[in-house]
Amino acid sequence: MLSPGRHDIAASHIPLLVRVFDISKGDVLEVGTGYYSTLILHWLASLTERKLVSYENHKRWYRKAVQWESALHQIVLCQNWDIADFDNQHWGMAFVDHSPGYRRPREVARLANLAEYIVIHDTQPRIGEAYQFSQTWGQFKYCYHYTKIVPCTTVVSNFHELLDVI
Amino acid sequence: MVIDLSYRDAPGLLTTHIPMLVRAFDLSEGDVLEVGTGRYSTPILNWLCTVAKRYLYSYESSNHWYHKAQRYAGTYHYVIQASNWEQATFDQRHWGMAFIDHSPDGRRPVDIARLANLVDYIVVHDTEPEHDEIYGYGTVWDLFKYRYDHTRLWPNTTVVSNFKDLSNLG
Repeated sequence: MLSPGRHDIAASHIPLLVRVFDISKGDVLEVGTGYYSTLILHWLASLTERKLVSYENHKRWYRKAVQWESALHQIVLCQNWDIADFDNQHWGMAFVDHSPGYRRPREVARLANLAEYIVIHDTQPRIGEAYQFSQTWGQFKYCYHYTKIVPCTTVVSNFHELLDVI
Repeated sequence: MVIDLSYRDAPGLLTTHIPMLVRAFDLSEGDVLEVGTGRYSTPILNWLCTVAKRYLYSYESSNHWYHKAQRYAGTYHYVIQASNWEQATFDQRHWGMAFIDHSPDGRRPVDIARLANLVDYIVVHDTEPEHDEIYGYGTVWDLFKYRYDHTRLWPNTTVVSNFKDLSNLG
């Protein structure tokens, strides 16, 4: 089934997402599914036999994502982000791109000491202000803002210096 | 952009180029050349070029794969049927990056040699030494100043360049 993509800008995280996947190890968390991220993470996780868990709160997006479910890829419908239980384990990397946007800093904070790399989409200052990321960066030892493609993407870590992602 | 949701099967060996393909795209600038289309490389390069507003030229010799790839053609993506690789004209200009993954296997070193001084980053798939008898890559590595072998995934992917030192690929 081919479907025209109407959200070209949604792919702007791909360079950083793939790079972080390549240099990380261990289980992968996706907070908020998407056409591009879910597909690419599914391909990469399947290839490398890494466990991938995708959380989604929108039923429409959950139904799209659930078709990718496999032994290595778990898709979780999460009606309330506050009770989503992804903060009970350590993750090799996490990708944060869920809605509502104001939740993103909260989930990033919950994962600050649990995920070795956290890739966050839509972090350019204008949107960042709306998403209230200003409090986020100070929670991490290392932070790299990827601004080559807009919307911007940021990777943060309390475990790795991030020299490899630049 | 086009998203083909039929690629639902386990991707297996066809996707091992993705980390280097995307990394070379990110580090490079300018137009992108794909020699031989594929289930994964063509959509990924299409998405990246569309979002980054860079032009992608995909050459394909097989009718079957040409028609599949043609569905991705758009403002930033030209899909060209190359019935004879010898006559394909991609060696008339400079490219930011090129991805080499075409058939027949024996053409790959020939076309890499044609592009050696025309492309900032050349990404080559299936470069594991045990298959060098099939692809014959061993004959072309000496044409390049810089080479990086990505061996975290198998089949391996190699990036070569006469312009960039590749120290930031690993």
